[in-house]
Amino acid sequence: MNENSPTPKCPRCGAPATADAPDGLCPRCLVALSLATQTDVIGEDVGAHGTEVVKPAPPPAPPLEEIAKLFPHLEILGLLGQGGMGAVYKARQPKLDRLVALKVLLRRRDDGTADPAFGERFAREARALARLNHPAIVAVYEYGEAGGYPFLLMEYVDGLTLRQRLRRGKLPAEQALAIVPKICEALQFAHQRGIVHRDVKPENILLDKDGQVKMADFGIAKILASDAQDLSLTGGRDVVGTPHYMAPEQVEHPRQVDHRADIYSLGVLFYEMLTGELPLGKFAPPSKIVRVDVRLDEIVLHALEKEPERRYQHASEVKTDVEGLAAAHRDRRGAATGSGRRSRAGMGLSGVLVGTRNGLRAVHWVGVVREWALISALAALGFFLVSQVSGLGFGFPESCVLMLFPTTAGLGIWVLWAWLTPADKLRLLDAPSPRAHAGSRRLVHAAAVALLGIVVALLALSAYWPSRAKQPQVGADAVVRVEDKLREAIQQRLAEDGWRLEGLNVSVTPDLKRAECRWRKIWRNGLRQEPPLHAAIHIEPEGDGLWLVRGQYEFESLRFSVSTPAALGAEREDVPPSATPAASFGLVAEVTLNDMDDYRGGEALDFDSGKLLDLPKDIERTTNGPLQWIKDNSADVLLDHVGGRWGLLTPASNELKLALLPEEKWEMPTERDLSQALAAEPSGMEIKQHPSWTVYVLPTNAQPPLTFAFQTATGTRGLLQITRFGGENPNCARLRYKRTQAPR
Amino acid sequence: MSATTPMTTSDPSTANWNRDSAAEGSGLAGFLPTRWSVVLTAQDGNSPQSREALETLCRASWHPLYAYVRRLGHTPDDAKDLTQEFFRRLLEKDWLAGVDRQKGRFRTFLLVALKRFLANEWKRAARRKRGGGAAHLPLDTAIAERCYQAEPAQRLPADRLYERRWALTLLERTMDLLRDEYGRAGKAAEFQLLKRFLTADKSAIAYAGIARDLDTTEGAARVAVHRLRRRFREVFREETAQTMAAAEDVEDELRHLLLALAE
Repeated sequence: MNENSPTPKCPRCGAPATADAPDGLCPRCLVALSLATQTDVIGEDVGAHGTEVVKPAPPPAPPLEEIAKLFPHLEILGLLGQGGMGAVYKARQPKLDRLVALKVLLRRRDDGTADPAFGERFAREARALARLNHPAIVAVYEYGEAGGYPFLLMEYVDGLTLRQRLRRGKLPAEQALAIVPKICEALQFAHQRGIVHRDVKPENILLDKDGQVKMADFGIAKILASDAQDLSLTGGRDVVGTPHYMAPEQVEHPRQVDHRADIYSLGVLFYEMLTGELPLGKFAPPSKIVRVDVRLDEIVLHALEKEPERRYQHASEVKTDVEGLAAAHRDRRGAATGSGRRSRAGMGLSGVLVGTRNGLRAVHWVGVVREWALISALAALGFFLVSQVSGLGFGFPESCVLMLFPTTAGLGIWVLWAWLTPADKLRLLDAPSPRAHAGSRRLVHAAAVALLGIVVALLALSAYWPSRAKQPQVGADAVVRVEDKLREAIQQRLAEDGWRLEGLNVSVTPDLKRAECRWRKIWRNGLRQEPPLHAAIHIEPEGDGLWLVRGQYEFESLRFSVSTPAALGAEREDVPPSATPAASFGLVAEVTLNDMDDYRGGEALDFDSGKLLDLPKDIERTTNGPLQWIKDNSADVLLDHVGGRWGLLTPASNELKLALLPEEKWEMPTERDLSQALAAEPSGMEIKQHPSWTVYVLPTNAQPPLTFAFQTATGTRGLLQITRFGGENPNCARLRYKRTQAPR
Repeated sequence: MSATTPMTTSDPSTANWNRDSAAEGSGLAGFLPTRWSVVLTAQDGNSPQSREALETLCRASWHPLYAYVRRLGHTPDDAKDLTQEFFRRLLEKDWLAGVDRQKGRFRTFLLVALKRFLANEWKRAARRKRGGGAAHLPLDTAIAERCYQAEPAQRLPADRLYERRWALTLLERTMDLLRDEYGRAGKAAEFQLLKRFLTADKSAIAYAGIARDLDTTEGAARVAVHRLRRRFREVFREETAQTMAAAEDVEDELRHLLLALAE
């Protein structure tokens, strides 16, 4: 096995050669070479995992003359395309003077006669397809068999396939957002009629010259799949369909798929449209690759759920979500061109700052801005002053009550009350006023009520009307403003410390309900007591890292601090002390660590900086490779499976000390708890000492949450808690940690 | 798989048995010379054929098992004893009765059986059997130990190491078969020269250079490279299929192997 010429790196995938490589060749590429997948690509191409996409040479398409002879009632104009399954010709029906597409399936017996069993299935399916009458579905006019070939006569679409369009690059998000709902409509229509497409892919989406979207080849895959077994047309063992777009269950149980397989394929398609890439392996969410709304991630990832049960259950649901987003985008564009007019009252904004790493959401916060609270307060003050000067005699509390409920219901009730209450009982007007003579009281009352009515009407109009017109989107221009502001401010703040910021996801959710609910809470505590907003954002200083950002919104002004190494130990704090959950601890960071053996790559945690470090993929996979690496990068902890048990692995040179604490100590431990635990002989864990590393091995029956005290070589102390084993994959664990802070 | 083979007979089963006898002669470990399905079909009757087939299967697949046992922390001596004892019992006992014929993969079956064996019987068995007893499969521990030591993925969990070793053994077996096949056709040198293009990027292959080395035309060199790649694909798929109850699952199994190697 080993007369190999030494190759340091695989020329194909770049992986370093290992000692056990068969004949010195990269084993992965060898296996990949054998992974034949079937697509419409003729010849060889590169597919998933660098696999060679191999296609048995398709039977040659019958020449035009032969087709012309078989279809005398058609003018055959040319060959539009050929795939493994059949050939498509452009033709004209002279009597109707219309262009048609003629799809001829290259399936017949060697003696040139039709296969009756196949013909029957084909006819059954074709009848169902012919009933699919929808503007976004390529219509089937006719079906039959000619010269032994089953054929379909279909609507001719003059335009491009989505594949041809995608060859030019990814689509702008707006365009993708316009195309996807059309596809959803077509799918929903077919699904309701019991037809599953089974082969949703860019080749089957046609974009005509008027910008219409049409789906072709509904159910064709099924006809051919049932065919494959009997006639061995596809080499007998290949799954029919296009692997990259196929749902996992479609690969595993091709015969048991339902409409949700189409939804998965749609997810792949959507992902590809947005990013120009296929969601292979451990793929990043779209917003990580291109600048698109993070809310798109959720839609795409939801469609791409591996379990059909966890996916969108209906194509129409995808449509609803996409259209909601598309509307928000249109608004945003409208605002940018100055055409949007928004009411400032009634505006509720919640902010979401999300750090996504390798498809995992790291930390997440929701903040809130209530602009109209301030406006109302000012209005109340103004009203109070005016009423004092004009002699209406409204007291300050009344002014507040009056002005701080600019909701339609609140105002309505107030007006009703004012209207129904007799003038002399109206307490507001009982206040002694030198200019209010007994005779004119009635008049004043009527005037006051009328004035209030006008105010109510105006407020209701400005607060309620626009938000009703644009129910799901509240103030998209403000959303943009806040997002930009956040991004800009964070960038600027980091630049001061010499860091460069990349890939920051800031989004503001215009969720009125949530915003209102938050507002009430804040209001109780007083306006300036807004809860601090914790955020983790993805910043790439010199590598991959997760950094903590904490900040505070205060009527659009953002105050925050960033924990960069420069700021360590002396974080400049704008946040009031009450912001920290426990007096002596900093913010809690939550991370998911993959096992260091995980094929997607493991991570290491650095407590000193709060960074989450990705182990480079090309690292030498001996025991010492990753350890050397984390040592060099002064990281502290790796997660590992040791003999089937969970373990935390730390390089001996870093001298990280870990001690198991009772679970409840996570909440309010004292400084003494920590010191005692760290000083005592470690218990509850097995400690494996190696010359260059230490492994804290947890008992086999260890149940999360498991709380540890830790102390790094540089003296950083804190608490670490494993909150869950497994999750996204069995090889990961969910952790959270917080560091102690020097008393202020 | 009805493979069109350029150099050997196109009937895979015959080709396989033939290849295997050749392999025995040249001292190569015969890896999975028969279909797992054959063993499964014969599992109720304890026929000599099925016994022989299973024995050959086992003999061929013990490197991954050895690596697994070693990874659990046993010494080379213990690992050898355990593996041998495991095979002895596997061949004696009717452990196949519980195998689901539909889903069965030899790879998973073997590991499950080994785990069961290790859990229940190894202590007793090892004590009794060490240093003598019934006929052992002649296992060359030295080679297995060397493979184990060479394993760059020393810290893989035992299960994963087993799978990785399994994939590598299949690949080695495929390379050996191809080498043999080319050797028999008098093209040993050609194989030696061309094999590295199996993992080359197609666009990066300098056919002119190959043509010079092989003393032929560029077109012929192109065809030769293409043939070797195709043949490799065929043999490897075939070898993989041998361990499966149903050949249709081979694509799935290949993906699994790819994952097992993804370290």
